[in-house]
Amino acid sequence: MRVRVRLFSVLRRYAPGGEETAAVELPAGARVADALAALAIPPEIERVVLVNGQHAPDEAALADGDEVTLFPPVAGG
Amino acid sequence: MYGWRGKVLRVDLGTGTLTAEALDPKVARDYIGGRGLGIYYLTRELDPGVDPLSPESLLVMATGPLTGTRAPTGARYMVMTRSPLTGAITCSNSGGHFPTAFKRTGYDAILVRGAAAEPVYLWLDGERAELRPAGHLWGKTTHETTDALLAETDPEAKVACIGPAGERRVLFASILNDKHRAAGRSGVGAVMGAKRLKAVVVKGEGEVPLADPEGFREVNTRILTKFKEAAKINPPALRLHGTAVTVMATQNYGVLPTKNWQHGTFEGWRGIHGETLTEKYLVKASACTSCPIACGRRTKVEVPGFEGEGEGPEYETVYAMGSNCLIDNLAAVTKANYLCNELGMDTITLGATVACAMELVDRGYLPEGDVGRSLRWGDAEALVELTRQTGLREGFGDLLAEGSLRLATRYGHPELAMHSKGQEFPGYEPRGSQGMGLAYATSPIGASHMRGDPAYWELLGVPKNVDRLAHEGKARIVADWQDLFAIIDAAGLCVFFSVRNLIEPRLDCPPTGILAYLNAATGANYTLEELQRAGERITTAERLFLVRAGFRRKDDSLPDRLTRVPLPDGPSQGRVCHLEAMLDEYYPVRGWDQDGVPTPEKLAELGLGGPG
Repeated sequence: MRVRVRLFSVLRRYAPGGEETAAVELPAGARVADALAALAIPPEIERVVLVNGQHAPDEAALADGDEVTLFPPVAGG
Repeated sequence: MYGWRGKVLRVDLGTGTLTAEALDPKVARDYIGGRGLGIYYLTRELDPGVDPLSPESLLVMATGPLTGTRAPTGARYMVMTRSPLTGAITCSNSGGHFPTAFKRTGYDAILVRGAAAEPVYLWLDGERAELRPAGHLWGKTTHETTDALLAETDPEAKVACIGPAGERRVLFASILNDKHRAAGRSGVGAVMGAKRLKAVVVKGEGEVPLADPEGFREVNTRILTKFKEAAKINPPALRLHGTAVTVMATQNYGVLPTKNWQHGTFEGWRGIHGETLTEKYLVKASACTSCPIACGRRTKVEVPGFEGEGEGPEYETVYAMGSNCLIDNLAAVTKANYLCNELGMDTITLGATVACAMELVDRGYLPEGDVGRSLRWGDAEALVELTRQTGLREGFGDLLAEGSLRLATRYGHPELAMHSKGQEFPGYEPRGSQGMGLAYATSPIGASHMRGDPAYWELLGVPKNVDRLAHEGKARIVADWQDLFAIIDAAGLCVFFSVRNLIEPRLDCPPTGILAYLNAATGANYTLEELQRAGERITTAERLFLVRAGFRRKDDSLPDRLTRVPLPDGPSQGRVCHLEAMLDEYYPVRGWDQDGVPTPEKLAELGLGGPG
């Protein structure tokens, strides 16, 4: 299956070609953690993961066509 | 005393009297400092019925026991009084370099009462205090005032002052220190202006005496080593892009308030994102004293019509003046931010009030003839021009200077003011971050992100992830988080560092790092429970002040737009904020009755008096 991954801010360095949006091929039954591994994102990197706009843990199952969004857990004002 | 300086300066501007008095060690221990000392003095010495802009009003500036120490981010001070914008209290907090110098004068706090017949400023050269004429500074911007005061006192001194907005009693005027850092919210600058106190100038020397210097160093080494190790793995996004990098998070969750809170996503979000600020206008990152984060932005804009130099904008500013007004022109937002700093105004209320005016015009409730110019969504030039007019109370700016609730009420549509207790919201949409709605509604200063901000939990998973769309169970998290923020504010620390490095990442978020610093600094030997109890004492004492001022559950409210109108689009589409259900749960967690009044049992437990 194929998911669309969007990488923001300091996590973009893990994007293939440095683009904000990347298509990632994954085997059927893949989970969020597999998508992170496919992009070579080390597990100790702090990140927020959204699947289709909702927060998702590493073990959440992915489906073909899902949109996975990653950004660092930074906020403030 | 250690950590604390043990002295408070009383200033009576009516008589010109300056009196130093001892800080009661038991009060210091029970209320910690900063925000805690502020509410201690307001409770005892300010009738909640007093007009905030009258001479009888009391203005407290207070540092905490960790302010001016080497604890990371121990560089904050607090301004507390009764707000002219809301009628509730203020807790306006600022960092920079002024707070450290203030603490090093030898005073923990300054209590200002009365009003001067002619403008004055307060000059503290160490403990030596003097009121000096400031007639020659009246009308000057915060930057001009700071430069002039450094020239006539000491180039090493630090300055906190008001600009023309404070002098003209703009209801959300702020107090700027070090030119660019603001005790921003709730109109503390208007209170200073009404007292004709143009500035406080401080020069302090030497270190703050510590009870256990060796122990303090050990704590510092342990905490900073951990911080630096983590920074090696995770790039420092706040240092790289400033707080405006938050746009990326709120946009992706659909909680970036847009078009006066009618939407939760903004098509032009990239225009106001922190990375765009870095690319286009960043000169360098800047930091407060003792801060390893450096989220500050030294910036310069050369775009014709919006030229300027200064610091910022922060996230809350790019939301309020940007997405909320449908403006994606960062040069204009940065320029309006500079004007707010120079004239001395809160950027959040300014931006939110302009957005409210734009919606009033859009719906045909406010004639553009009254505005004196066109005022359509996305009009960047209007934002800048109206910011200038507001700071000077010129033209239509005289109405904007009253904030969004008074403006919308004047034009017959108070429901279009996006506020709680009369103070405009910061940039996190409660329909997609339920706990934020409860935090806004129960904050003692009206809507705020700094009095307990559960967006950390709901959007970032700091310290633990919780379901942002669920409202059940949020009451406990919000109450504990509010008490934690009270401890941070009282200690003299910054929220940014504390919530990631000085608490245990558990649901009950025990502040073990703050405890270690406080005990090494003060020798007060707090237990963890005593420290947490002190946080609860502060938030409850603040609530009690509000109760005495007439605030009840009916005032712990949000606009219908957030509780009844589903968000129309984005990842939080279809949601409303379930405030009443959360309040039902919150008051018992707090030990308050269902009308929001602390019970006698809770007050007795915390050593506080009856509601009177």
